[in-house]
Amino acid sequence: KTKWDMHLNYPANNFHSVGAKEFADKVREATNGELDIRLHPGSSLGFKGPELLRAVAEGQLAIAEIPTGMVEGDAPLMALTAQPFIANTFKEQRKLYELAKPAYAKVQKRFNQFTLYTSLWPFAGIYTQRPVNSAADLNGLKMRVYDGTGLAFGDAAGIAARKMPFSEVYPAMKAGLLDSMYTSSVSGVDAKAWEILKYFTRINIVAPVNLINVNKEAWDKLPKDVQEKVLKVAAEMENNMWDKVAKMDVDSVATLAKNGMTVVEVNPAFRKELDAMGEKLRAKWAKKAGKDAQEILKKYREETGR
Amino acid sequence: MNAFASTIEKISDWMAKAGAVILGLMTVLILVEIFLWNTFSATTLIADEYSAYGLAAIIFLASGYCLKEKGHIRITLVLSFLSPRLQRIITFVSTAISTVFMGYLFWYLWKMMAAAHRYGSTSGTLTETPIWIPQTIMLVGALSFLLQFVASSVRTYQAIGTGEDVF
Amino acid sequence: MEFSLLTMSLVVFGVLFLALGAGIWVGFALFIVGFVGMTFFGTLPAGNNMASSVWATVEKWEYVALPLFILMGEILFRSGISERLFKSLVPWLYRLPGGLLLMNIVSCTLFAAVSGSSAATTATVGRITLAEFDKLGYDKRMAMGSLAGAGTLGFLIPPSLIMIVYAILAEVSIGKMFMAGILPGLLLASVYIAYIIFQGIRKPEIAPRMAESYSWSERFVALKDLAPTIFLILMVLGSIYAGIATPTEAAALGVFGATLFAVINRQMTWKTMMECLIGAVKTNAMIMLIVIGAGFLSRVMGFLGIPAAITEFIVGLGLSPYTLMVLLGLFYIVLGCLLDGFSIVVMTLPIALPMVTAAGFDPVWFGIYLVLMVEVSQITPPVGFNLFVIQGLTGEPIMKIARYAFPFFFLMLFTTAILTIFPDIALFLPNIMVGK
Ligand code: NA
Ligand code: NA
Repeated sequence: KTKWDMHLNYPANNFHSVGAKEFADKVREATNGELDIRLHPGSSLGFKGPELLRAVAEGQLAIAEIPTGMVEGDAPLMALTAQPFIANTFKEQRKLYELAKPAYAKVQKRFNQFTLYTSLWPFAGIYTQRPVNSAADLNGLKMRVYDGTGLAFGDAAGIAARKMPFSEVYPAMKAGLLDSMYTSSVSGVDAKAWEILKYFTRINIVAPVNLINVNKEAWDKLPKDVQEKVLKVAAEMENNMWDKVAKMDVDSVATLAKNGMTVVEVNPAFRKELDAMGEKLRAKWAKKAGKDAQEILKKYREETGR
Repeated sequence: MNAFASTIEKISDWMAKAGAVILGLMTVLILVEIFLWNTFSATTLIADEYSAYGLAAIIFLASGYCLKEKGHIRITLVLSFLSPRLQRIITFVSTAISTVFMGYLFWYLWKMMAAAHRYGSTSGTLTETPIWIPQTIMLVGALSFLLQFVASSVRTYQAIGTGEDVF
Repeated sequence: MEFSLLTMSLVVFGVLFLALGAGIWVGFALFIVGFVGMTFFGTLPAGNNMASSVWATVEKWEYVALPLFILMGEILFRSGISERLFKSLVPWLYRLPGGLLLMNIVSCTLFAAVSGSSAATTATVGRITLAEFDKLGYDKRMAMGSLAGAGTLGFLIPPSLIMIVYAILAEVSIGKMFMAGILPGLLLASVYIAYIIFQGIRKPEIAPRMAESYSWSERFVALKDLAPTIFLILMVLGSIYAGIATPTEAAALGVFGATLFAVINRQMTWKTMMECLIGAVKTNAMIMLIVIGAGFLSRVMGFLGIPAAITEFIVGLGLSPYTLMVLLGLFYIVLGCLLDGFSIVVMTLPIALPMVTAAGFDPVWFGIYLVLMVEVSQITPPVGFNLFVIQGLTGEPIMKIARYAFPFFFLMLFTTAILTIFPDIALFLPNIMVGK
C-alpha cells in the first residue's frame, strides 16, 4: 500500500480541486486501495507556486498540482500555455498544449517528474470599475496581478500592476489603492467580484494549464499493474477536465451577469491591439525560453494562424 | 576556548549590524514605492520582492546576536524547579541538541540553495533575479547563527563549572 | 507500518512538551517535533521539506510589516512621545475618581494606536507613569495592575504584530483585522476605566489628589502635545483606509513619521538610529524564529493529517458554539501561563482555526478572540511579558505584580464574553469599511 500527499493550489471547492478529488477516488477504487492519494487543497502544506517544480523534483512532494504560469522562474518554457493572448478559444489552447507536450515532457524529465493529467482554467478577463474598450483604456489602471505574466502584461499595457496576496485585494480596492484585477470567470464568481467591481471585459489574456505532476522515484516504486491503472484513470481525467472547462466558463459568466456585472465582449479593433501586444510579449519570452519554444510557436502559427 | 567564543560573538554583533543596515534599506525602498505609486501610479517593480529577500536575510543575520543576548524565547519554568547544577547541565544539553539541529537545518538550506543554482531558478518576476543570490545571503546569516550556537554550547558547558547564570 | 492517529498525536505532543520543558528554544522545539513526526510517521524526507518550508515562510512580503512596526516602536520609545502624551492628559484626568490611574488606561489606549506590541506599550507608558505615581503616593497595586492590564491593549488596538501574524496564517486581510480590533479595544479600555472610577469612589485613598489645579484654557493648550500621537495614528491607519498604502507600507510610513518626530524633538542621532535598527532586527528574529518553526511543524501536521482529524473529532462531539469557545478559552488560559503570545497563535492555529470556522465563527472575529487570549497571557504568571516589563521597571517580583493584575485578568475575560455574545462589536467596522 502506498500513500501520496498531493499539494493543491486552490480551495477545496474550486473545480480543479473537485477534479483532483474525483481522480483520487477513482484511483483508490481502481487500485483496490493500493494507492491512496490524500489531498491538501488551498496550499495548506505551505508550498508556494513558484517552487513547485523543484519541490516535486527533490521529492518534497510525491504529487502536486502545478500551474504552468507560476513556474517560469525555474523553466521559462513551462509558461508557454500562460503567454498573454496566445490563444483565443479553448480549441486553440488545446492545440497549443498538444504541440507543447513533448517539450514540456523534456523539461519535466530534467525536474525528475512527469505529468499524469492536465486541466485548464477558463480564459481570464479583466475586472474593472470603468468600461475598457481599447488598449488606451487599459492605460493607467491600477491592477492586482499574481504572477510574472501579469507583471509583463501590465508593463506592456501601461497598467500599474502589482502583486498582492488575495486576502488584501478587496480591502485595497475598497480603499482605492487598486481599481482592477484579472482572473477567470470562475474565480470571479468564487470571489464574488460583483461586490466591488462593475465590468468584466473578456480580453482572454490567458487560459493557464494546470499539470498534475508526479515524482519519478515515487512513481517507479509503484507495482506495474497499479501504474497502468493510474495512467488509465489519468487519461480519462484529462478529457473530463478539458471538456468541463467550456461549460464552467459559460455558467460562470452567466452568474457574473446575473449578479449585476456588465460582461463586455472585446470589439475587433481592441482584439487586434491585444493580439499585437501578445505577439510582442511572446517574441520577448521566446528568446529566453529557447529553441524548443520558438519551434512550437512556429508550428502553432502554421496550424492556427496565430 | 574563551577566545574562540568571543570571536564568534563579535561576528554575531557584526551580522546584526549588517541586518540593521538591510532593514534601513528596506524601509527606504518601501517609502520610495509608496511615493511612486501615489504620485505617478508607477511602481519600483522590486519593492515587494526585494523587501521579502531582505526579510529572509535579516531574520538569520540577527538570530545569532539575538541568541547571544538571550533574546530567543525558551521556557525555563520547569528547569527553575531543579537544582542550579542540574539546570546548567540540562541547559547545556539543550543548547548542544539545538546546535546539532541548526547544523542539520543549515545543511539542508545549503542544499536548497545549491539546487536553485543547479536548476538556474530565477524569481519568475520581471527582475528575473537568480534565487540562489538571496538564498546565499540568508545562508550567511544561518552560518553565523550556527556558529553562535557552537559558542553558546561552549559558554553553557563552562557555566556548569563556574556557576554562571544561564537563563 | 500503519500508525494510529492517537499514537502519532501522543508522540508529537509528548516530544513537544519534553523539548519545551527542557528549555529548548521554542522555535527549535517546533522544528525538532516536526522532524520527529516527519521521520517516524511521514512518507517523505524531513530535511529538504524543512528547508523549503523555511524559505516559503521567510520570503514573504506581508511579514515585512513585522520588523517595520517593531522599528517604529523602537524609535517611539526613544522619541519622547510618551512624555508629551502624559503632559497633555494630566490636566484632563487629575480630578476624576481614580485620578491619574486613568492615565495608564488612556495613555496606553492612545499609544497602542501607534505601537504594535503590548510589551512596548507597557514599557513606554510605564516608564513615565510609574515614576509619577510613586511621587504622588498612589496605591502600588492599582498603579501596577492597571498598567499591566492597559498595556495589553498594544496588541488589540491596531497596529498589532499579533494581528499581522494571525492574518497571514488565517489568510484574512491585515487591514480588516486592524479595523476589527478598534471597537473591542475601546470596549476593553472603557471596562478598565469604569473599574478604576468605581474603585476610586469606593477607596479615594488609592489615588491622592494632586496639589496643582488647571484652568480650562490650560487644559486646551495642553492638548497640543497630543498632536504627534494623532499625527502618527493618521499616518499609519489613515494611510491604509485612504488607499495610500498597504498595511506593510503603512508600517514604513510609521517608521518615517516616528523618525521625523524624534528628529524634531532632538532625540535622534545616527547612533540612536542604529540602536533602534539593531533592537528591531533582534526582536524580529525572536518572533520569526517561532513563526518559521511553527511553519514547518504545521506542514508536518498537515502531512500526518492531525488537524483534520482533531477537527473532525471535535465537530463530532456536537458541542454548542458557546461551549466550544469556553473550552477553548480555558485551554488558552492554561497555555498562556506558559507560552508567549506568538507561540500560542502559531502553534494552535492550524488546529483551532478549522475547528472554529466549522462551528460557524468568522475567522476575523476569531482573530480578535485569539488576540484577547494573547492579552490575557501577557499578565498571567509565570510567563507573562507585561509582568516581565513591569518587573524590569519596578524590581517587584513577578508573582506580586501578577496578583496586582488579577482583577484586570477578570475584566479581560468579561470583555471576551461580551465579544462572544455580540460578535458584531468586532465585525461591524471591518464590514462597513472594508467589505465582507
Ligand atoms: Na497597537
Ligand atoms: Na502568561
